[in-house]
Amino acid sequence: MIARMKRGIAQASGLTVVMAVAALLLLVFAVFPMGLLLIRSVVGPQGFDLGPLASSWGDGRTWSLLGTTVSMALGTSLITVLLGVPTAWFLARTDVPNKGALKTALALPYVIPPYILAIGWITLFNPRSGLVNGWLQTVWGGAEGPLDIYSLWGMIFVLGLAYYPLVMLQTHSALMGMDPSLEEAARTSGARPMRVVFTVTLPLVLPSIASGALLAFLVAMASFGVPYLVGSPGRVEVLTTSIYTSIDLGTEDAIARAIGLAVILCVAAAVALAVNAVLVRRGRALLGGKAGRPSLVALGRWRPVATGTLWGVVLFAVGVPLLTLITTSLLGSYGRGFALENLSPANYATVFSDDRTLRAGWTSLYLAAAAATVCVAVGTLASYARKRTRLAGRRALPFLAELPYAVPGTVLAMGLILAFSQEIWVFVPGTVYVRFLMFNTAWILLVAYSVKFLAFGVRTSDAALTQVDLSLEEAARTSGASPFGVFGRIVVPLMRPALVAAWILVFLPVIGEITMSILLFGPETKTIGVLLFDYQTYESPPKAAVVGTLMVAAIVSGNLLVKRLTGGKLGL
Amino acid sequence: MAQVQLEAVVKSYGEVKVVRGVDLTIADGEFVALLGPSGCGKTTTLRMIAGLEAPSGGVLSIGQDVVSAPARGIFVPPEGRRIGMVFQSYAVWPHMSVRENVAFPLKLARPRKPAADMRAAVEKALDMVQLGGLGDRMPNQLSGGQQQRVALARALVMEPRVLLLDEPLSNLDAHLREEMRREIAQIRRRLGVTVVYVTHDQEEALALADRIVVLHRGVIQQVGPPREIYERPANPFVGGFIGKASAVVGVLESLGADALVVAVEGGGHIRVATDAVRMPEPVEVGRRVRLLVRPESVTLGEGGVEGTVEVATYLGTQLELLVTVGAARLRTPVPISRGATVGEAVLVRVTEGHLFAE
Repeated sequence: MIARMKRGIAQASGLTVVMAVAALLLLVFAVFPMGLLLIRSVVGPQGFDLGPLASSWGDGRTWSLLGTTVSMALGTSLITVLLGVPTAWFLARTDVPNKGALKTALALPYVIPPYILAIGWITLFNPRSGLVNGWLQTVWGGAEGPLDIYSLWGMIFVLGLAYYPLVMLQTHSALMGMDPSLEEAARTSGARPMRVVFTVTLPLVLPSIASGALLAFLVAMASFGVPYLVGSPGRVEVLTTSIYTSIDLGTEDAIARAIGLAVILCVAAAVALAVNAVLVRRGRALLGGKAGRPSLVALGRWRPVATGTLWGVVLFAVGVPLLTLITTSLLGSYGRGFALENLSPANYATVFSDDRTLRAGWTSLYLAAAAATVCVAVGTLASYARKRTRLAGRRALPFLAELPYAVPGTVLAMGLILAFSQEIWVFVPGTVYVRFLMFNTAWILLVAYSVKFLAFGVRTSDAALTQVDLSLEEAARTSGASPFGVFGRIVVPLMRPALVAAWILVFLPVIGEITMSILLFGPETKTIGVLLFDYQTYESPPKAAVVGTLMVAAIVSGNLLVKRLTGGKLGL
Repeated sequence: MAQVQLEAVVKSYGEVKVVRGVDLTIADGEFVALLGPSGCGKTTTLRMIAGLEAPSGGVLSIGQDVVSAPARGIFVPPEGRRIGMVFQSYAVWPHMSVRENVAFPLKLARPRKPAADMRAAVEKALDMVQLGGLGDRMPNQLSGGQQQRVALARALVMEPRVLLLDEPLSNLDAHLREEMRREIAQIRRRLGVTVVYVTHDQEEALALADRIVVLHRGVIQQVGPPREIYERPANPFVGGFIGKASAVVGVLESLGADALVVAVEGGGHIRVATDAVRMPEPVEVGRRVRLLVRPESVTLGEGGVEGTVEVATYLGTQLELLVTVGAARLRTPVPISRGATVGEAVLVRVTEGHLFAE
């Protein structure tokens, strides 16, 4: 018995050691770089110096940048609410048919990187050769189209259509989780269905709607891909693209300026998150209670109209850009129009035979695989430690992981650049020492991805863990297993499909990641996203479209696989 | 105040028939309890009266109005039926104060009452449920019992013609349940409103109702005043569901002028005086039968058959014994002072019973 106790303690300590190491790595690769960034913003070569910060904030350009960024984020947020709330209501409260398929289709933009959808929209609405502009020109004349996507409105349009699922899914969740008798009581008190919506349903889901809108605001503010592809060509800059430009420039002044902007971005994100935390708590308070099957509003003769409109949204938000993307990828020569003769799969051959594509693809694949493995392994351990054990400091790791998750990717990447652009000297006991430069290598990308998505790994593990009945683990404990033993022999095997799903759910977004990749890639480590940007900006959009189409295919099938693996609980 | 009438009301969900042809007339001002086990269709029936579910067939009328008749394409939605409903989960709106909750139906009524009248009506309703003075509280500041009263006040503020209650007391603890039961009875006496009350708790039904409707698998088993349901069950289901009857299955061995004897399946004989046995339908000797014996009809003492105490359960108020006579197992209460030991030999007499053909 003593031996077993000792083993138990050792294994529990084993878990603690792993947690401690992971926490340490988070401190080094997330907290330290962020701290360094904040310090460098107020400490110059001569010590404490508010000068650069003050001049950056006093600069009119900075404020106009902030204004543009906030406008873009607000506009996006507004569109997400306008689209997300009604769609959620129709899905949760009416008798539209094929809800499963409809919900999946409406949620599609959530899993596709917005910059890929942007390529499709650009093909349609760019001022020079945009398709729609071309058609409008035949009606109204002119050489340059009336619609210019390279603008603030263009960014809002693309981002709004890409992020409305955030609001839709949150609202839908809240609606489904509501006690149906709250609405029924209003009906029996004399309220007609529409009255019920405005006096009971909406007030109760308002916090969830606001939370979704805030999240959309935050994500829009932190986004890089769309502002770069859609805004920059029109000389509309936001915080993220301006930081990128400054870092690209590389001078002392530019870096200092970038740091100043990064701090602003960070502060704005922090404020948004704090407000969101309050909203989430409020929402949970209002909706506590039994969930149940809500009474559905029978749409009667309005059903075909509603169904048609909802599928119309799918068509517009998903179908149009994707179809345009695929067609663009088949274009023989850009600008020569979309005549059928001009379409051929030749581009696919060109792109595939290009060495760069294969290298970039491979880079992204192995980096994403490694990052996914790290995130799921550490995430699962952290989730298990927090929820099922009483180890000291078990909350530290998930808490630390939330920081890089919430921080805008640009800011995190900046921090990593500042912290690790020098060589690191690692002393091996003895006389040998190793020089190690992380910058421009695959390691810095791996670190960035792992640190950014770790919280996501924890969250998906949390969700998967709730499916494992506590009594199964308790039975193992009373049979003599230690916490680590229970974890390895009972929990992990039971969670296996969910773990695979979680792995895929981290793997896919990492493949499509651009915000950090564009700042951290090196000559040998260009990722597939960065390559796509190269093609779109410097070569030919059809080539970019080829890469984009393949990425979409991989991402969608990956998500559907996840859905199958978890019986619909995770994934699309 | 109105009567409620159900004619051949049916409800199916796809292939599944949840309510199969219910015929029921609830008189104006009557308190009717729908009683039955889970899944018997009582809640579905109540929701059809409320208009929250539409029947698949039949006719439902409240007062003079036909409110549901699928064959004629008639369906009046809940907001048009002028009923009051109290839900099992209270359904008190968390984003409105107590007063706002209770005032809600008044604000929707057309023609609208003047503001002063509405305020007075709300106060009156709150007083009736003993919540006067708590009008400004928010629901999350109230206990479960208080929230239930808010729900009741809200249902009554419009002076509805019918009051529907869906297992209103099942979420409350025993003390509170009794208290609320008394209050509901009191309110009902004062207002004289027609009440339809769904419950699975027979004690509640027996205590509150003018008539009880016992439902099983969507079919009405028996309708009658509490006494009749308890003392003269029409079939084995009702007999078994109401009261904690023990069932003895066997063959009717003899039927004399004085006494009848049941040969218990598995061994043993039970003897009961013939005029103390209720037989809704005559049973011939030799038939397989089910004899239902209520605990209060089993006594231990002289003149009985040999039996053994199998289980003795301490219930605080009494000792509940499970006594075996042959293969039959009979439940019976004894005072704590008597005491009992497992395996004790006793003499068992059955003083009353209900006999049904199996």
